Amino acid sequence: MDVLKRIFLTVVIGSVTLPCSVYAAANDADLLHEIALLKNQLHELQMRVASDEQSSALADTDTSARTAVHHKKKFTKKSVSNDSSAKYKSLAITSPAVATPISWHGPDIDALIVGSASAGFSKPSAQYGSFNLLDFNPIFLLGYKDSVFARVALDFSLDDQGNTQTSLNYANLNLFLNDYAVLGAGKFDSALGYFGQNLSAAWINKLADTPVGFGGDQAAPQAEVGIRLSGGFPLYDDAKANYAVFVSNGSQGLVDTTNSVIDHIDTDGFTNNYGNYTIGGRLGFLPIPNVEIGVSLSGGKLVLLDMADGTTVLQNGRHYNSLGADISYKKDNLDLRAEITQQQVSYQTGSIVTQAERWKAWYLQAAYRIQSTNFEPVVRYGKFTSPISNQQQGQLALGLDYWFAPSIDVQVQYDINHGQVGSGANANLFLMQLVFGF
Amino acid sequence: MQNKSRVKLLSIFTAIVFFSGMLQSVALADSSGVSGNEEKGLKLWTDNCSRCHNFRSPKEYTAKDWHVIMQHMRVQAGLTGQEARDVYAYLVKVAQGSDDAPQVAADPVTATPQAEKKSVASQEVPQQSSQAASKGKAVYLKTCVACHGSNGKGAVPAAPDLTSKNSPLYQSDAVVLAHMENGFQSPGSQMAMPAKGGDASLTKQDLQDVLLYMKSKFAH
Repeated sequence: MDVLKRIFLTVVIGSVTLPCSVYAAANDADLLHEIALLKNQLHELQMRVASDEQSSALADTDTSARTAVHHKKKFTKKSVSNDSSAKYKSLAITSPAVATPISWHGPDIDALIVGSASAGFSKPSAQYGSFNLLDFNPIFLLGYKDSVFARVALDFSLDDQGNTQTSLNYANLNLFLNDYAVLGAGKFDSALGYFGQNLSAAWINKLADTPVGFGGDQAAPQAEVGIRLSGGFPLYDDAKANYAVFVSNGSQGLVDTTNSVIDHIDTDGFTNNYGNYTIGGRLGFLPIPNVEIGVSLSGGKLVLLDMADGTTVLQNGRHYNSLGADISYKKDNLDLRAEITQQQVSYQTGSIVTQAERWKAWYLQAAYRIQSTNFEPVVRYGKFTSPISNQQQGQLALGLDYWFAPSIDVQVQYDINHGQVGSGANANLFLMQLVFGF
Repeated sequence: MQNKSRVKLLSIFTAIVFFSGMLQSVALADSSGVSGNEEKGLKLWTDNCSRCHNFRSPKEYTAKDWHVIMQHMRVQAGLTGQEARDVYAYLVKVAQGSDDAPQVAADPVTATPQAEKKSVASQEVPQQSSQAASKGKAVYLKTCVACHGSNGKGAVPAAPDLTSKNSPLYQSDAVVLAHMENGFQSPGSQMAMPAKGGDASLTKQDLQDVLLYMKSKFAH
């Protein structure tokens, strides 16, 4: 009897559940779709609730006092977590549409921290390698309504002894004059050329190093301290132009007195340049949206300092100029770039350095994001010529990027270098680094 | 002496631009996004931003964050104020994914019903009226065309070719609709399709109409 009951129950249960299973399988895709739609609706509702909470929180009490407290808390993660106010907890945790942990938004002032970080390993040929690639570049952005905007970029890195090196890459205040002009004052990335001001950030540069001659104390101007007028304007159809003109304190020439040559031009940006100024700018022309052609030039005077101490003035008011041109083409997954730059100091009789000197660099770069993958191979060839023979270098850089996200990247690279035999410029170099843009 | 003359000239030039600019600033310096055009913004975003770096997802930052970033990019990349407002309008719309975002400029595109290419549509496409396809075309031309192009081959980097043999339209309707509804980023793609193409006002029926239109038009 028990056996019959079990068989009967099995048949009954099976006859009920089997059709249900078949039905469920048939409607599995529809259910998944419905779940996805419901999730989306839930997300929208959460955002609206969060927005309403923010509005009520700000309306409940004095706006300015609340905002001040809120701003302070946003900058201090610990204080947010210890906040006993349910409303502020709510804002901090459930309202990502209002602010992120790196932003701060008030009635008039908005602030945001962006930037990049990178860390990696390098090994010159026939030498030992080390984990010596480490950089942290936060950029602080602060805007007052739509009229004043401050940008401050810091750089933290380690030297060979492990000591922290800090520098101010740029810090400038900008006034939005109208749709076509922004007036700025302070320290800027040099407006001359393209790589330094637009491509040098670790998460933007597709290779782990800068093109030869485009680094500090080489051929490309790095920074300016002064005032700048910049902006863009439409020309015709899709064509447009952008521009930046500046007057700055200018550069300094560092003289090797033992050989009576200028070893290099220091363009880091100086607050005291002994009364010397440089005027210049860049004009960019975009005939179609994915092509940009730029021309840069500057002229002025610089001071020649003794390289031994960096302070003894050997000559003041030496003529100086720089020229540059750049072009870029971006189409789908293909990215092509070329740039040339030079700085030169004129001939002058009676000076400790009479001869004219010129530092010149150029590069060509191609990158291609392989369709439907995260891989992007990059090849770059560049050359740097200098009056100082052991500075000269040619370089073929072969790199491969793997993009985990649009701003998170692993870069593997091998540089084939050609320089003066026996100098560091002649050693090939392997590099690998992880890059994070935020 | 020559150097001083240069400084004076540039100072005069700067002063002229400064004061003439200030006169216009009240009317033109507003980059709050109110007067931005999302469709132009999408095009500017794809044209300008990718010249230097990969596309960042609009949802990486909040609308207010993007306001700050667009001010930064005006200074950094030489954008005009209007360009910044247009890009901002697009980013806000996608970032917020709500009806609060600035609206697309009125685009009274109404599709003329075309003969349906039912023979090339997927087997899963249900029999729909030409009216539904017409509605789908109107939505496509308003919301989808900026990225996917009027011919379906893609108007921006990373937009898939809807007409190819590997077209995502050959996936099941449920999968395609889920991607349209929630947004989707193909593996290796440089940018993601925002949820509902960035237009949160689209209904489920709108999406089904668009799918019907796309399958009949592009899925050969």
